[in-house]
Amino acid sequence: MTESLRAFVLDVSENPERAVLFARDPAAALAAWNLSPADRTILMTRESGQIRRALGASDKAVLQRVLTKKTVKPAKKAGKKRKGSGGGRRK
Amino acid sequence: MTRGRRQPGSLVVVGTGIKLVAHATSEAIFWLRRAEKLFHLLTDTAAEAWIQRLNPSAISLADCYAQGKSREKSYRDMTDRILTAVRGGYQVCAAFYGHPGVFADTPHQAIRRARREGFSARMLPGISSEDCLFADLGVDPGLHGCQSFEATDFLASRRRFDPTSALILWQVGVLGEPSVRPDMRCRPERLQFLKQVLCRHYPMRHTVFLYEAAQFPICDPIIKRVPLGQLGRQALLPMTTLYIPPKASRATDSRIARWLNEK
Repeated sequence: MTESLRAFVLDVSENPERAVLFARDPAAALAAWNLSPADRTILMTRESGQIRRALGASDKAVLQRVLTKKTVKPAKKAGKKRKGSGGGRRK
Repeated sequence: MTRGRRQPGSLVVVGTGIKLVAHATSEAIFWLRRAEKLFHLLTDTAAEAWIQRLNPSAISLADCYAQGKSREKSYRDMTDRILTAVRGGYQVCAAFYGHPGVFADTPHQAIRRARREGFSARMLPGISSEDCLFADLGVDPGLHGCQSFEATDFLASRRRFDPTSALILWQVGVLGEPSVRPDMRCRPERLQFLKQVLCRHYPMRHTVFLYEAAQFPICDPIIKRVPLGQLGRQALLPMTTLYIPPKASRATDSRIARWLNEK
């Protein structure tokens, strides 16, 4: 990740009019920034995932922070059914 | 910051929203700036730089995660760290990505524990992925109702739902995954099974949406429309959400409608 990429992303985030300019004319919006060709290509994709990775956040780290996963454990096996217990599927 | 007289500590938990800076409320920014101790768990270095600029005391909780450490232990460590500062008499703020109370364990735990110990603690809402989905897909949950489930829980717990109301399945991109690994994609056989379950309630041609909110103001959200019958063939990214619009509207019960209209 380059410092200028981070600075650009923060700048357009804090100044919505620059984000509007980027949407209208990306080349003009990027002209004043000392960005590497790779960073420019990534910004032009406008994909959150690509920009996030370029900003130094691995998908794994992001998922760890964002996702809450359910741990699915098989239900304990019930004992033998007793006659007249009502049985059937648990609701 | 040094203080002459220690006041009781307090805790405010805030959400920074999904889109960097743009989604942070003025109320959240006020508390981010005002905190004597600021903890955060954000998703990228630009967000961390922004929060550091707002309040130089900002400390990331990300180091509570470690290889081989259980998620529960990581959450406990985060909560302990926040609570230690509150007990120390500091005005503490903890900032989390999105809405701090949605799909997040630590914020709820920290608030419960702080209150149990007699400290003032509250949560401020943030813009969540669900809010972004309503805006980006043009969905009004008030029209037909809206049901929202975590995708793995939806399948494993055989959640009951009404197909004439909207259905949102979160974390469908990591369906059934017990842990996070690099380059994760939803396993096709699991997606196929989810499709089969949904096809009991919707026609195969029913249009569904694969969705991911934009995280930066220069980005567009990812929105892909596919017929339900083709869901099993899609390559889902981990952050993908599945939105299923309601099928044909339920007929209104005329007796209840008449009764409601009676003066």
